[in-house]
Amino acid sequence: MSAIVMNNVVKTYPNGTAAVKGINLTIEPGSFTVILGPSGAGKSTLLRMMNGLETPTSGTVTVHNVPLTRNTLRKVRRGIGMVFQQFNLVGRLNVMTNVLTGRLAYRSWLGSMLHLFRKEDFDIAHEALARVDLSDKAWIRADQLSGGQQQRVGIARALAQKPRIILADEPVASLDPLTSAEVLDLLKAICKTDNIAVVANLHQVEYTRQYADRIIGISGGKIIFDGPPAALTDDVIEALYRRPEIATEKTDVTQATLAYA
Amino acid sequence: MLPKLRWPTPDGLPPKALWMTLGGVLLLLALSTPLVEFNLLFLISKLDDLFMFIVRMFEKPPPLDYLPQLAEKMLETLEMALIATVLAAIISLPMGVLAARNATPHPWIGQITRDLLSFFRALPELVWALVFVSAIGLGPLPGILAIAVVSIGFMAKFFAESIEVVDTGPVEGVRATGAGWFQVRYFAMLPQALPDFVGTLLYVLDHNIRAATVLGIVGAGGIGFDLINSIRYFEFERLIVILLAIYLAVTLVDRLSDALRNRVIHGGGYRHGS
Repeated sequence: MSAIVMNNVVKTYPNGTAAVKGINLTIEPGSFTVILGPSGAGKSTLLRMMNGLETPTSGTVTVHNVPLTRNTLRKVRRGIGMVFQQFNLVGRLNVMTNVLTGRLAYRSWLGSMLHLFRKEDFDIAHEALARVDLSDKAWIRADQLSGGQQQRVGIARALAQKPRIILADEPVASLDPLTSAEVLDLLKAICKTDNIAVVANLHQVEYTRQYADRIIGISGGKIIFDGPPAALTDDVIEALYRRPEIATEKTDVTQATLAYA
Repeated sequence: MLPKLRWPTPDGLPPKALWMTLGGVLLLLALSTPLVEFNLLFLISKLDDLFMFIVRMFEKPPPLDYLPQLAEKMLETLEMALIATVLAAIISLPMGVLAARNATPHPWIGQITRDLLSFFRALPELVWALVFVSAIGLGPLPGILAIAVVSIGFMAKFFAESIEVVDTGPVEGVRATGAGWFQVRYFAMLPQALPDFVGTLLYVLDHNIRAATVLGIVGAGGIGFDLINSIRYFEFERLIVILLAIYLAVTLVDRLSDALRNRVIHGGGYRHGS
């Protein structure tokens, strides 16, 4: 059983922007897949359609044999952890509460109204925090942590869901190189030891080569490469990042930057 | 030749928009003063009457035997404001969620809630007090209801506005876990809006104490009843004591809420678990 199956998925935004133009894609369980491509290629839209944060204009998304619809949305999301570029933690809540929000989907709204969680939920949250090596920060406000620590809390929140899939939307774009490697190592380790399928959007070719089992190259809303890191040649990379229509604009930007400097 | 002093504009003159607006306001004032019979000469001719009025307030010694009743009425006034504020806050929280464009269950429900709230705000407390006094009789209860209705109108509106400006990132983060409608609002939106809520609540409490002091005029409890009677029966020595008491109470609460607001907003506030 495939983790995610996307069938002829198209996404056109109300303003007319065609972000994704007909993509067929199958993600296997336990694999580390990187979606690589330049900014504006449609990576983010593609990833966000996998857990229903965006609804496809046409085509279907199936997660572990369950088609993603209005009725199955919450149940599907429950089994998919998500890690964001801006971490998306609730800054005013402490780390523990942020991790516990990963358990909300398993609990009724009535209990959560009193901010009460079960002991088993705390056990799961503690375990997740230990996994990302942040047990000592459990009672600190999330916005007091550094970027790398916040991203690890984000991963702990995803782990608390007991997911079978983790989606990571540019997880290291806001982090320095050392922290980036830590976060990617962590995601890779989770993928391999827990057999959780990880799908990550990246724009850095180096990280992609280093961590991916499989690379999907996206440009202009279409898949233009799908294969293992070994097959990612310089020609492919050039094709991915070549955008002739804005090449002139790019030199303008450089000149403007120089003039400013 | 250019003069030495210039405005920071290309031609060195005041901007047209500025002097046009000033001119317009002055013209409007000149046209409207006869309408409301505002006459400076008349006011000056009445200055000695105004002076006599103030003298009469201090003619007799302050009525010490009135002080116990004053204390009781002031306490009633403060209690009215406090109860009305708490009552309004409890109702405003869910109404604020319903009214906020990013939290409402349906755009129509949001619109209806906002319209209802603007109706609550449309009439001042005194008018609502008249309505409730006619409906359920004299006493502090209609006063409390009147204050609460207006407070809901303002508080829920401000709550909704605080919710509308919360950061969408955390909301998406919690939504992506599969959390439900209520859980997303409760765990991602409310914590972000909470400091604003506290600020609004204290401001409304402040305002309500002032409002509670006048509602007695229409028989809706509090110090206002004694206030209007002192004027009616020319007991000006009592009037000055009442005015002084109101001033002290309002200032005291103002200081208290300032201190509290500072602690909540700058002191970390919502830090449960630590």
